[in-house]
Amino acid sequence: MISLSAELRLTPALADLARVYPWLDEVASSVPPAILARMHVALEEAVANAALHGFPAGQEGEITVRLRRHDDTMVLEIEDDGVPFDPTEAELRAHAKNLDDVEPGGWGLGLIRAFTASVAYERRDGRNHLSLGFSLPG
Amino acid sequence: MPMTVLDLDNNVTKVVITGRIDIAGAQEIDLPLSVVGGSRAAVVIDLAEVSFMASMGLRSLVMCAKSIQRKGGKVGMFGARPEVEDVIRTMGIDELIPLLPSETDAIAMVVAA
Repeated sequence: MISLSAELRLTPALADLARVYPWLDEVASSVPPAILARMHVALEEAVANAALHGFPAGQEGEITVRLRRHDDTMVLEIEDDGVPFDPTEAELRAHAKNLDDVEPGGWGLGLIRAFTASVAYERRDGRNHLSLGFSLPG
Repeated sequence: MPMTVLDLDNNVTKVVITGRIDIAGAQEIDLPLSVVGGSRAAVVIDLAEVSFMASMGLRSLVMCAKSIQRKGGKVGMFGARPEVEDVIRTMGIDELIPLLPSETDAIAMVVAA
């Protein structure tokens, strides 16, 4: 059974997004630093995506972040009531080899995929649900 | 201030970035970085005081580096903390903008012919 450890509710406003990192520091304080650092990055990317893509033109709404723990897995859930947006749909691009070729963008999804053990998206009950799984040392 | 610009010898410009370069931090450095990118040709970027970096920050760095390289200039980074280096190397940004072990190495790289 996956237990809910903590929950944080935000609006999509930029100032509110800044509440996420102290929250994760507090609720995931037992996680080894290198893994916690990766959780911070993946969470920042996911929340920023939800805020930027789910609520165009300053539309109001709610983003909820939850941390769940089960044995050696931690799951961050990012739920929002914005427009349907599946951040996992974008194609991953191969790394550009030089500055001439690079098109900035796409690194957010790349970081989420690289830093998580699992990523799952679902649109359910009019909300976007993104789950990011992280493996903890056994 | 999340970013300061210093003039060093040999026409080298040092950019010092500070703090969390999250979505808000990247917005703050985007314009000053693009000004440096548009006007300087030998740039070293000091990341020692950067406590967090994600995709928006990478984007700002890459856009700046593109401008510098387009005019035949050079740019290098140094001082990244382990968690910041992790992000840079995972996305292969160090293959676009070299990540050097020290400020001295970065300066040597950008002034080399």
